[in-house]
Amino acid sequence: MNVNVAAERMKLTVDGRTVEVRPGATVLDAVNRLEIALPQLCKDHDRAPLGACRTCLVHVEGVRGVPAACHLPARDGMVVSTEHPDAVRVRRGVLDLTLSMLTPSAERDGFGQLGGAAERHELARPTWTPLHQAPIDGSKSFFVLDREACILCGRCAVACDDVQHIGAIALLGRGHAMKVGVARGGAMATSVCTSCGQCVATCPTGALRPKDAAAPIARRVETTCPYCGVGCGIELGVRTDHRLAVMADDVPVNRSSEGMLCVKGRFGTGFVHARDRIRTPRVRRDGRWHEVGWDEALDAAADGLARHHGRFGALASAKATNEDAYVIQKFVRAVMGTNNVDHCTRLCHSPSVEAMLVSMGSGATSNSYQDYEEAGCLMVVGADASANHPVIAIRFRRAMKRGAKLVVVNPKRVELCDQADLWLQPRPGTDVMLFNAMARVIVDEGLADADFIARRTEGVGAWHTSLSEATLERAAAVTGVSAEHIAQAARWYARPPVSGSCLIWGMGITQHTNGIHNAHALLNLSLVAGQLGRAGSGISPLRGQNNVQGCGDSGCIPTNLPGYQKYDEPTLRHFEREWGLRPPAMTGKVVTEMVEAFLSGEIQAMYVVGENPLLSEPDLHHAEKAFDQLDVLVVQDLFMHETAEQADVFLPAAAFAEKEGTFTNSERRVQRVRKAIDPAGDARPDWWITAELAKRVARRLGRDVSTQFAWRSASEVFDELARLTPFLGGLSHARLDREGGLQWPCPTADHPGTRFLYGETFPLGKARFIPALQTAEAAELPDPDFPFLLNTGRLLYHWHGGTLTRRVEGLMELAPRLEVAIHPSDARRLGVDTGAPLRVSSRRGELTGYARVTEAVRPGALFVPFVKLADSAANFLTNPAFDPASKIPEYKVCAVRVERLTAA
Amino acid sequence: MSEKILSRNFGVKDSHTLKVYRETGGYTALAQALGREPAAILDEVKKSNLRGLGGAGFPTGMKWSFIPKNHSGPVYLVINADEGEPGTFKDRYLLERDPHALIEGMIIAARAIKSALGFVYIRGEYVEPWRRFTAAVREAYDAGYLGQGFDIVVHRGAGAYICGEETGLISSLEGKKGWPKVKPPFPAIKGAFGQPTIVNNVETICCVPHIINRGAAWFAGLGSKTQGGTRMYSVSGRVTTPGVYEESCAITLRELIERAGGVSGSGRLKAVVPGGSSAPILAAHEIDVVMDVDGLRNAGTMAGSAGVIVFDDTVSIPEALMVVARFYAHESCGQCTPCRESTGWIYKMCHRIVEGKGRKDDLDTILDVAKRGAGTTICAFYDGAVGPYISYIEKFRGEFEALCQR
Ligand SMILES: Cc1cc2nc3c(=O)[nH]c(=O)nc-3n(C[C@H](O)[C@H](O)[C@H](O)COP(=O)(O)O)c2cc1C
Ligand code: SF4
Ligand code: SF4
Ligand code: FES
Repeated sequence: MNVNVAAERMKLTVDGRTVEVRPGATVLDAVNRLEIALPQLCKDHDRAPLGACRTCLVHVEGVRGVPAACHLPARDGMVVSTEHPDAVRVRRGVLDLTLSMLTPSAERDGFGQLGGAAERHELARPTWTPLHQAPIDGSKSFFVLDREACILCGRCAVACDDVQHIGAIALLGRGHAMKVGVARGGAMATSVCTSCGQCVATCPTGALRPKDAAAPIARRVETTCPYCGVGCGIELGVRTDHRLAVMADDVPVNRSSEGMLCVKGRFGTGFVHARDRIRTPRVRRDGRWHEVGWDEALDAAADGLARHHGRFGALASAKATNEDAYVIQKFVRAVMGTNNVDHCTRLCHSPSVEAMLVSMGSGATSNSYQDYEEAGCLMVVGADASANHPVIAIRFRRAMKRGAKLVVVNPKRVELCDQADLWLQPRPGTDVMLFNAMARVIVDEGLADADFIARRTEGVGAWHTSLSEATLERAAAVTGVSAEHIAQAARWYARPPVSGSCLIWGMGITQHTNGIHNAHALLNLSLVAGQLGRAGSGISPLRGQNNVQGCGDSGCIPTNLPGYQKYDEPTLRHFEREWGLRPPAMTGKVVTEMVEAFLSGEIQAMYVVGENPLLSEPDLHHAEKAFDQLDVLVVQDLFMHETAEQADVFLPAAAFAEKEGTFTNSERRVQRVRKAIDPAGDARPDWWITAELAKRVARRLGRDVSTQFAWRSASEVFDELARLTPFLGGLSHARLDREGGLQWPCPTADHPGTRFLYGETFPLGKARFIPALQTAEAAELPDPDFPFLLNTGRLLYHWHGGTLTRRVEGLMELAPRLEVAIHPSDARRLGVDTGAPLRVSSRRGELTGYARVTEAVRPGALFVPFVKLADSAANFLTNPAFDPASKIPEYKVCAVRVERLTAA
Repeated sequence: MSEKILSRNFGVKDSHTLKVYRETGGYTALAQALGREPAAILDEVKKSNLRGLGGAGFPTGMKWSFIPKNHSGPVYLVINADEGEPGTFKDRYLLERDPHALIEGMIIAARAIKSALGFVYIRGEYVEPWRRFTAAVREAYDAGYLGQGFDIVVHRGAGAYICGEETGLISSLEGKKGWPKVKPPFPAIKGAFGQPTIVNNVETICCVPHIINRGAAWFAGLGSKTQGGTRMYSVSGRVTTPGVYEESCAITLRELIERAGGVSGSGRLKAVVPGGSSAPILAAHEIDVVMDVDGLRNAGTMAGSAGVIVFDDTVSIPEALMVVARFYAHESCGQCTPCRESTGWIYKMCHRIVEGKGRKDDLDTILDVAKRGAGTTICAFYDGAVGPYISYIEKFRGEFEALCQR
């Protein structure tokens, strides 16, 4: 007989009914299993009990008093009653006291859960009256804090502190004077609150509630956030009027986000309903847009594109699904006969990908988010994770709570600097020297992982020789970072106090003319220390868009077929067999080269999907000139934007909430995107539009593709992608629906997915040390005419160029205008205060913005986010000088001049 | 008068120094204990009938035995020197006049529970006790008693009563807000920094060297049937000679008041709080009670921290309750709704009554709220508040009613 049977399951009786629960369950779990209505105001389903509200009181046979069910361990044979007169009497007393804290009013909608509980306990009017009054704090754009509806349960404080690790709100004071508040007792907007809404989602009474009027929810649909590459799970509320609720819920079972969200995911989905969504296909005739039917629009587009077979390029969207991306590249390769297909990676991370391909043979993040938490040292280079990847920043904070060391390398004082154990502030453009010096410390002090180097790498000799220049003294002189700090960072990285180290970098490293050298210097550091290929270690380029990983995986890059397969004979033959048409064997053009090719006439027709290159290209004036040269421009998007304004045909696409598909996030997890609502107007899913276009172009070119673009659903497209991409071979929509998101490589249907790469080998066999050279600091350095160094980047409240976030009112309220960060010493010299209008100009253009005086930037440096607000965008200023190897534009640094504008 | 054990050196000059402590037999128990197995020490303490002297009166040996046997990580010993219970001041005497007794007791206790690190959480206002104690710790390190497998960290509180509650104290020690935690898990299973932790009162641990030196049977014989040893009674209020009195646990309240010189003021006893402000009050005719844990429990009150507060018949009970109620309203940590809200409301009502603005049904309302909330909260703070609310009103209702004209 198995004696463990009893321990496996426990049987309890609750109100006369029996129920089984697992060991570790509480009495409340048992009560909830039976769906017995018992108040539980302070218990969040996904968190440990707080035991604060004391409303979950029950009677248990043989136990004195009325214990709180939420933290009473269930035991086999327990006899529980929620209806016992003692329990009801005491509970009613507690509910009475609780209800007495609140001041009813019209906008306070029944106090949520508490209202229901009071009704069930026949408490119409409470005995007491509230002891405190407080005006509503409406200082945040999406939600209010209404203390007269607050029962001080503490759930919001836990959400803010223990879930998000932000610590903006807390229960302040004690006893009767206690209240929810922020440091120094000001309004919420004065705090470090990031508007993530974790507290709003958990508040049981609506004291924290969204500003928009509550609307009845018809159903909830779990899907994946459309913003950044972290790929959090979100649950969309679909209202009875078929619109999305303003606030999305988090998804605790999502393995990438574990119930965390940031402001954009929580409150930023409203753009799908923007009034200026394009709902009908459009064709330009006589210089004017005409709304037409799909047939007419697709025919017009096909006519144009068919004329330029071979002189064609396509820009795919890293915001769209894997399925969308796969169909685009198939169209380009099989029908248009070219490999000119690319996506926005070029604009952010291609040096990383390029360098990783050369060094290791794969461009993906090697570790999982879980590894950040398990690491003993996190080195974060040129990334403002708190703003751009907020949920990853939470993982960092969790790691730090467990004792991990945080080293931040950033010329700008980003939020993480304030939490770091060590902040290195190198002069911009001196990164290679810095990392080479660290590598030297590791070698010189015997901290290198000799075994790893011997077994798993090659090229160490030549690389080591290349470090001869990188002494601590020289590095200190070049970078401006003290020798001591460089050495300390190297030691922590190579020998963290526990576990391994993760190296994480962002665009601060890659958007430079020597981006690829920077990336190699980082990769060498990870190799010499052996900090990859095991739990708690790894290398991560933080990806920008939600599906950059998937867009590349699916083949929207000019250098490789889906799955990063090469243009070699066996592969080409395999694709020809599958597609009926042979993809060209020649590497295509990257997006920045395509733009140059517009000018030379090499490319005359362009298909742009979900991208706005006339905002994101460096040197916008130049790009505008190039686009003017095109004969045919077809744009497919949600909105009319700068690029679309130039187009001949506009094809309205469905938004993420209006279609099925998958996104692949930064930890290689393929996750489902699900349709919650019907597309706006006549809009259609991208994959469908591209397939229709492909069929029509093929017909005009006399190519037989009848069976090739005939998918009936996104899931069929995915099956084809998986069949042709070995590392996705084991995945399908059905499996992802069943098991949740899975991490590639996942080659077979019974493969569980892969938490970290390079455990055994590298795709290249051995990893390669590639000497990284410190070249000129930046292509354009300040001079007397343009004395400031301009840095660009992103903001928490805006996404990229702002196409989506500008359409979310509350986000605009949080960051309404373009701010130019300037050091106090420079501000003093110019005589400007925060808020003063400024003009910033470079050799290429100018913009106007408002000063934000802050020590976050160095003297002589400026920072402008690259969102476009009020017709001003940083990329009017930036420098198109490429990194010669990966062809990424140098967005990060260029020389500018700044002047004070007299207020209009 | 029983033999002085804990306070035997209080009258000796420089009793707080290592030199004097050693000259009067200090650290000989440690030498003995080091030769014994942990289990043997634990057994001795169990047999001594030592019960916690911080408030709850839990048998000390039994508490120690709850530490999981197969635990591989650290185990902590935490000494509660927060002494916040109104009417209690005995730990201050011990820290100031016999700090080495605590250190010796800690080293022995640590051996029994296999702990390598102890914390002493000293009430913030206790500046002199803290100075004396840290000086003694330094001496003990220099002499090699500490630092040989057992270390002591001294932590100073910041003036919150709730930090004396053991889980609140642990939270505070961990650097968090001093909020009590839900139980289970109990500290002995998962306490400070998530590790098994024993929390004991200063006086409790000061008894340990004597138990080792003179044996469990001797110690048990000093007290009552269910509680061994003597204990330090803090006697205050209307008595002729207030102060700390070490007496057997078997003494009666009447005898104890006599030891303190009898009732002062009017000379006519009205009531006594026998175990710190949280203990239900006893009327003058109830003082023939034995002052051990069980004796007082049977009398409907509690031994608590043995803070004895004597009221003569000039004291207004409603005013006394208002003062107590203000204390609890102010000191509630605020986590639990019943505690936070009721203590606030009851203070307001007591205030109203004392001001002559009370209503007769206020008394029943207080009793109803107090009785309903008792036993429902995270920690025993609220039960401690309920004790006086109910007992003051029920035993002296006439006095309250006289004030409630409406
Ligand atoms: C509100 C409250 C305050 C307390 N304050 C103290 C205190 O100041 N000192 C103390 O030793 N115990 C205090 N206790 C008791 C402790 O929780 C705990 O029971 C005691 O420290 C255990 O030690 P012992 O077993 O040696 O008595 C308090 C309990 C409560 C509920
Ligand atoms: S605001 Fe809401 S979640 Fe926060 S303490 Fe008040 S009732 Fe609880
Ligand atoms: S009973 Fe009072 S003091 Fe104790 S945890 Fe609850 S609110 Fe805090
Ligand atoms: S749900 Fe149990 S105390 Fe709040």
